[in-house]
Amino acid sequence: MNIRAYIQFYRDIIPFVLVFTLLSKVLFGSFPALIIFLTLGIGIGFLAYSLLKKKEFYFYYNLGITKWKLFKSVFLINLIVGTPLLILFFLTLSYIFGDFRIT
Amino acid sequence: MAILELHKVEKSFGAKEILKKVSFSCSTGEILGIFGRNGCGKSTLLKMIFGTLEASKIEMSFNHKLLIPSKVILQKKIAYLPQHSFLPFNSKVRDLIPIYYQSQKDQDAIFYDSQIALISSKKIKELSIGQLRYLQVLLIGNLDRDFILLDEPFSMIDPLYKEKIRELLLKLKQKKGIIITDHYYEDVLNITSKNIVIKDGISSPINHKEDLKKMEYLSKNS
Repeated sequence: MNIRAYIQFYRDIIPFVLVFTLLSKVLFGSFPALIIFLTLGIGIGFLAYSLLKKKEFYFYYNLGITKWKLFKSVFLINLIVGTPLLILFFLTLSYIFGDFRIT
Repeated sequence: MAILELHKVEKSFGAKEILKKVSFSCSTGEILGIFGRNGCGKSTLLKMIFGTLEASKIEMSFNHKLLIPSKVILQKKIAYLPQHSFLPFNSKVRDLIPIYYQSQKDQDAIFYDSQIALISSKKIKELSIGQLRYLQVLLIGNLDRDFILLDEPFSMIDPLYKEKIRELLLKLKQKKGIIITDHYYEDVLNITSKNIVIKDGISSPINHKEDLKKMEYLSKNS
């Protein structure tokens, strides 16, 4: 398994996921944002990548990695690594700014 | 020796038939050139072989066994160089090479290439078109695949890099089958073992430049 390739893809897609997650945090609060980070956020990130960096999928195709494999890898990395880091980030934000939920 | 064969490939976009009857074969040790005017379906054909575009009809075999396009990426028998750059734009060359090649020996073969040594610390977005194209051909060409599909590898490349790519393809040909399409027909004809031209959706074999004129790919005065 080419771990480096999956990490490269995660690094490229995560900015899109994070922007959507942070927007969700502002609008809905931390817990819904966390759920969105793990579910809808990945879909939105994938959509954004498909629109803005579509050509770069061929970088992975040539390694034998399909879109579906990439999607599953993002979900797994998000679950195992991303979620604890995001919780920590949200806690830090709350500590510094207090709860800035709008709704 | 491996052989890739295509029979009766067809592709339509709506009512428009782009490819009607395209057939060819390519073995390892051969370079097959595909010619055709803009919009005749050359790039479409390569995408269909690689499985990233669905064909209306395609019969493809690898070593006389059925090869399903949707499985090509997973089976890792074919590499594909698209027309456009496919490398992550913000990454450095030296960070991408270990992603493509896991073993130190394979990485060294790329890093010690005289052209790559000059650009290894640069980001992809900082490379010239020639440097980028050479890097891409080198990266996919050295993968453990029997065939490589190249869509316009010589396009917009300066003469120095064109020569480097030509040398590289002739070296790769010793172990692989290469299918190449490009409008720089003289560069292609210089390296190919056999050629076809696609006209009105139908492929025909060609042997020399004169045949390209007969098939109206080139003007009579070329």
